[in-house]
This record gives sequence, C-alpha cells and structure tokens, in this order.
Amino acid sequence: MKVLIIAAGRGSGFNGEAPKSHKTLSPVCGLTAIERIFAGCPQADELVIVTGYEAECLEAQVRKLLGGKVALRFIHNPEWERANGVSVLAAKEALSGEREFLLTMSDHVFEPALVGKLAAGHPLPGKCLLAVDRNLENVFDLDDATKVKLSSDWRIEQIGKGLTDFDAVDTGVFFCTPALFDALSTAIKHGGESLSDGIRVLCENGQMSYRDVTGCMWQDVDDPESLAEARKRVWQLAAKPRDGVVSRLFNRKISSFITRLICPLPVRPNHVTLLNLLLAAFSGWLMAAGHLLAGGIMAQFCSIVDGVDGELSRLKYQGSWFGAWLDNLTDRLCDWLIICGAAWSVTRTGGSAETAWVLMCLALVSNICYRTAMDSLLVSGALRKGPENHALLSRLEKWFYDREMVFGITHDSYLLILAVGVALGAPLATIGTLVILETLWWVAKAAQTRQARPSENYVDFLATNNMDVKNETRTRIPELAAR
Amino acid sequence: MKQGLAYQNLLLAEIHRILSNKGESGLSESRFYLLGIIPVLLALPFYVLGYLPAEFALSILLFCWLLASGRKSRRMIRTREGKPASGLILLHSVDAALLFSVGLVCRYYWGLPPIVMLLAVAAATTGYLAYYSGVAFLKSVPARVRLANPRLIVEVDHLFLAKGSMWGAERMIVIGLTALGLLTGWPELGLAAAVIGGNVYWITRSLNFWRKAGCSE
Repeated sequence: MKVLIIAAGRGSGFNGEAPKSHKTLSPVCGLTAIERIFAGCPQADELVIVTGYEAECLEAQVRKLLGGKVALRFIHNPEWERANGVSVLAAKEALSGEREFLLTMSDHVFEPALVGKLAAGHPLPGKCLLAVDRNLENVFDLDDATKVKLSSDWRIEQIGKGLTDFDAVDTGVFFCTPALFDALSTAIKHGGESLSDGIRVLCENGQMSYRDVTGCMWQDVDDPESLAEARKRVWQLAAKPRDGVVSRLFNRKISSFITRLICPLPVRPNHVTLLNLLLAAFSGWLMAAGHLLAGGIMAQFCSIVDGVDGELSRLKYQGSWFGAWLDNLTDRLCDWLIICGAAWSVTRTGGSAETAWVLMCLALVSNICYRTAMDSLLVSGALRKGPENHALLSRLEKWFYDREMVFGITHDSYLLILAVGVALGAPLATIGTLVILETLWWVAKAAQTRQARPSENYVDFLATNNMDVKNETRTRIPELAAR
Repeated sequence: MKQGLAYQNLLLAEIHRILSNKGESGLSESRFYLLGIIPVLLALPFYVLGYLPAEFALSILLFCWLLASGRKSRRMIRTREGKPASGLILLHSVDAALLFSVGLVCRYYWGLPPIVMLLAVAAATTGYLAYYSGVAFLKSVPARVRLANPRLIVEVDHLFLAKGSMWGAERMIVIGLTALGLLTGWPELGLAAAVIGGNVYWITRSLNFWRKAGCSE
C-alpha cells in the first residue's frame, strides 16, 4: 500500500523555536515524526512525500532515515505556501493508478493500531475513509481541531474547524481513493484550497465515510506544546500493561528515567539486554568476592535495567521475536548468576564452602521448579483454562491483576529480596527464605492448575476472558491465563 | 519488512515443522539413546573385571533416569499428550538434582578439586537453559501471530508439551556425557564435555533457526 505524506508546510506554529530544520524531523521519543509515521503504517510499501518548504534538506534527511527500509518518492510542490489541498493534488499523477492509498500529514503522530483499524475495512469504490476520534475530552487542543459531524449511516455530514455541532474530531489519517483528487479539483475551482474543502465536496457527494478509532493514540504536532503532548502520549504507549509488584511500584520509575535518557541514542533493545547480562555477572562477582552491599545494589540495578529493553522496544518500534526470545533467556541467566554469587557470599559471612555449594544447588533447583511450573504450563500462552477457581491464591492474584500488577515470586520481587538480604549481610537466611517461598509458590501454582485443560481454540480463550484483539495485544497473556 | 506478519507466520510454521518432524527429532533422540546404552554394555566387562570404580553406580543411575524419562516422553509424543505440570517439574528437578549430586559426590566423596562442583552447576543450568530456549521461543510468539493462527498455536503448544523440548537431544547430551565421564573415570572431563556439548548444541540449533529464518540481529 502506498502512503501519501504531506510535508510541504513551514510549521509556522513553532515560530522558529522547535525544529531546527523541518517539523517533520522533530524528535518524538527517539524517532523523528516521519519515522513514527512509517512505523505507524506497517503495511506501507512506498511513501510518496510531497515537499515544499526546505524541500532539499527534508529529502536528504528522510532518505538518510528511511532509505533502504521502504521505497521513497518525493514530489515537490512549488506552490507549497498555498493551502494543503494543493499539496495533496500535486501527488495526483503519482497515485492515479492506485485503487486506494493512505493519506496523512507529516506532523501527525499515531500508533500502528490506528492504521490497522482504518485499513481493516477497505473503502467502497469511489468512497474515502477518515479516522475519527469520538473521545473529545482526550483531544489536546479542541479549538484548533478539525471537527466532524457524523451521520447514522457511516457517512460524514459536515467537516470543518468552525463546526459548533459535532460528534468527533479528524485524526488527520485518511484511507483514500483517487476520487479525492477530483473532489479537490472541484473545491479549488470554487475557491477552497484546503484538504477539508476537498473532503467537504466528497461529503456532499456522499463519498466520504468514517471509521471510529477512539482509544488509539494520535496527536497533531503544530507547536511546541502539542509536540510535548505527542511525546507524553507516545511515552504512555511504552508502558507495560502488567508488571510485577516491585516493578510497578519501584523499578519502572527509575527504568523509565534511564529509557528517556538513552532513547535519543542509537542503542537497540538487544544491546540493553546483553548489557544487563554483564551487569548480572558483575553483581554475582561482587557478591562472591565479599562486596555484599555493592553486589546487592548492583543486583537491584539489574532488575531495573531489565525493564529498559522492553520500554525501548515499545517506544522505538524495535521489538522483535528474536529480541523477546533473547530477553527471556537472559532473564534466567541473570537470575542464576546472581543466585550463584549470593550463595557463594555465604563463605564471606562465616559459612563453609560446603554450605555454599548446597545452598547454591537448592536455590537453583527451586528456581528451576518455579520456572517450570510458571512457564511450562503456559508456554505460548493462554492455552489452558479451567473452572473458576476461588482459592485464596486466585483471589490474591486477581486483586493484584486488577491493579495492573502481577503477584508472586516474580523475577523483580525475587531479585529485590535477594539484593536486600545480601546487602544486609544475611545471604544464608535470604536464600533459605527464597527457597521456601519459591517452593510454596510453585507447589500452589501446580495444584491450582492441576485441573486445567489445554484450550482447543485460542479465540475461545479470548472470548471467555472478555478480550478483544486490541486488549490482547496490550496484555500479557500468561498472566491472564494464570488467573 | 522483516518483522511483518507473513514473515512471522512463517517462523511459527517453522517451529511447528521442527516440533512435528519425527524424522529429525526422533532420529537424533534414538541416536543418543544408543549413545547411552552402548557405553553401558561396553563398560560392563571392565566393571566385572574390577577396572571400574564405584562411579559406575552413579553413571548407571544417570543412564537409567535418562532412559526411563525418555520412554515416557516418546509415549507422550506418539499420543500427542502434553506432560502434566508435575511431570515436567519432576523431570527438570531430578535432572538438576542428579547433576548437582555428581558434583557433590566428586568434590566431597572422591575429593576432586572445587572446579568439578562448578562444572556440575554449569551442566545442570545448561540442561535447563537448553530446554528453556524452546519455552522462550513459544513464550515470545508475538500477539498478532497468535491471533492470526489460533489453531496452529494450539497445535504447537500441544506438540511442545508432548515432546518436552524444542530440540530433542539436549538432555541426552548433558546427562549422557556426564555419565560417560563417570564411567571412564574422568568425571570432570565428562562434566566439561556436557557443558560445552550442551551449550554448543542448543545455541547452534537456535542460531540456525534464526539464521534460516533470516532474523538474526
């Protein structure tokens, strides 16, 4: 699918303050606006970009950023100072052979789910679709937004900034057919040069429909304030929907600070994952060498850094299956390196080497049992369902889950207890306690899921848990299945 | 795009192929069963003649455990019946406990240097990590791939639980080589070979998968 991006304007709302070169290149949490648009359109096979203001500079920068990732085609609009409808019309020739294409402004930031919803229903021949947001309270600058009056038969009745009676606002993302160009030509003949004028013509002809994308993230970046709002909204997308208790209450606050610091740098999530492994090895070594306080602090720091790779991948759309796989493996290795270091630190607090080895073996076996109970039951996720379980454990888990937290001896809480215990100079008591807690936990979990059966259909699982596709993508299924 | 849905669907299909390919996993497993049985038969006359010390008993224990748990696995693969949670916990905890026991016996009963204990810990974690690399493949299946292939994901899950591992031979390598080291009187060499062999095996298989899928980063 081709994506038409209008990047001809000057960005006068910034008054020379923000983007040094072009507002399309404004950095939004580690990616420029144009990179975010590309990431937001996973179906895009060619970007058709209409340029005007500082065209050469923009073209060079966009080629540098996106060249090799997607086909690029630049169309220069010498009349870029006229309204944006003229810029859209400049791409008529380039898109005349297309049955449909996506249209957006270069200063709109949105998430891929928005385009996914919009593209889910192809427009009827000759009809165009506009993504609209009905949640008016969520609109950053309602006065400046383009308002839309909707009809009951999925058509748009009226569109314009000055509407007083309206149902939704225009998100700036369209799924169009070449009929748009004819409508724009008609509008220009009648003196209207903006895209809204062209859309108005389509509305009058009954050729403009809409799709409700309420709930999806989008933001129009017109000035420094809206740029700050865009950054805030993009940042909210990076939050993990479900975290362990310790992560939610403590680790995330520091990991998000680190992520903000490093997101403008060319650091990939997998680099952070591997760095965390080195930090865990260092923590284990510090503990084994008798530097208990430093080792404990470093162990907790590892637990914090463990959240950074995920945040970075969600923020910069750099998540991959390989990355998730690597993260899962390194989590286990990090735990074991720290456990081994903590167990050996017993020899520095008066314990014998025999005690340390036995403690290490016990801690590793209980950790292996715990991980097997937790992960092997679920494996690819959500494949097991059982009768409603009202046991105390289930009720506790539900209480935490409703508050977006995962309960149990999870990676984060395990490392916090271990780090504090070792830092306070009591590795033997701490590991002993953890072994008992972990054993109790996996025995309880195994008993809880004893009656569970593999689900025959994943879709059924989603239905029984009242989940739709959007929720599913934002929720960690294993925790849901564990309920 | 490399990470497009169609591409990721192909990865899932490749996992399904690996898990359901009896020729690949079954053959490699049976080869390693032979590796487990033949040394026992070869070692028997030496033990009878008094050339082999008490390590023989421990190695017999390892081989027996390997064969007994392997038989159960093969039955479950045939019937495509997933292992119950308790079965999996028992399997991996006994694997780890046996390998730790080898280290503790070597260190404190036979007085071998402390490195043997470290090797035993490394062998136990290697065996589990090799298994966990398969779990991690399935745990990290992207949500949109799960949604796009609801039937296939269920099938893959059942196959994995039935087979109990993604690659098939990691337990045989780790436990088999440890037992072989005990049999031949060089337990530390056996453990070192188990650590190296086990890690090389699962890392090579995993990287081959990602490379074949064109996804290594």
